[in-house]
Amino acid sequence: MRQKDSIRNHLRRHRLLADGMTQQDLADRVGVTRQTILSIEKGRYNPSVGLALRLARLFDVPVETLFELEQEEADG
Amino acid sequence: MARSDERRRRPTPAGIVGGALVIAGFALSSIDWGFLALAAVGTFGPGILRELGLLKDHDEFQRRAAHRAGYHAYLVGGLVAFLLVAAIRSGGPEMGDLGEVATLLLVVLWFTWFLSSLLAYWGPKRTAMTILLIFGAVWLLFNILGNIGSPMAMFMQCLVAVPFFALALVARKWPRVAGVILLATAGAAFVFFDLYEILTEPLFDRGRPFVLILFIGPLVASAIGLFRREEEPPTDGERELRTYG
Repeated sequence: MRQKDSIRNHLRRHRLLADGMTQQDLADRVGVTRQTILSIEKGRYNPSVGLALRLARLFDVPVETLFELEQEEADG
Repeated sequence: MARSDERRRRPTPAGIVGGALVIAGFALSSIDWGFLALAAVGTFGPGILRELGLLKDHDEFQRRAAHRAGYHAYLVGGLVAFLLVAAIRSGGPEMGDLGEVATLLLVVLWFTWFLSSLLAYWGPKRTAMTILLIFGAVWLLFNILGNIGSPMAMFMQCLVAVPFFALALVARKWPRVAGVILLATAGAAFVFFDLYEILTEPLFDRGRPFVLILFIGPLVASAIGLFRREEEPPTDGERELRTYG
């Protein structure tokens, strides 16, 4: 058995709770493309520390509120 | 916001210039093959400028996707290059001229890079559907251009594209069914085009390696993409907000 780290994010929930912010709105405000926001929300892309901090600052929450480490047990 | 959306969706200046150079390079190569250098500049120039830090039109996700696709192209292209060298040195199948061998390597590199980029941007399911639509569209384009003088032949050959468009629709609802059909089509095409002869005949006879990569490759890649389980992409905008109340 080995530990496999994966990152879960709550970006979509925070975005929707922030006055109906669209993916494009959010992308413009943190200086990336909409595709980047979509990929983060789908869990296909983990942002850099810098972008994670910018997102957290925008929603005025600690970065751990947006992104959390979840540990999975995997065979191997 | 609408204005911002439109701005973001427009191709970048580097993309427009690069695309124009590629088209010009291929078009002018019928006059002199030297013009193909323009296509090289258009294809690789923007990436080289980005790596030198002179062009900053990509964000971190796009840079990562490009680096990953480049690494995949390096792995597959390197493997194929080694196999070609081994085949040539061991006196294996007849290779044809150097231009064909180099073109094959370019096609392998480009196809791998393109596929990896699509997967990074859209995930397997949407990539598969996009490949099917592109496949159908390219088939239509070539058959329309190739049969301008004979409308009946054009019509009949264009019908071949219909199943690909239909499969793209089927893939939305039943991805695995579409995947099985695509694999069966790839298998049938492999036999129909005698591609198994690639191991016994001169390598570039009837352009077999290119048919294998550009015809069978997209079908198999789409099928693999459709077999992978993936969540539906979230929709954007106010519609989502309404769902949340």
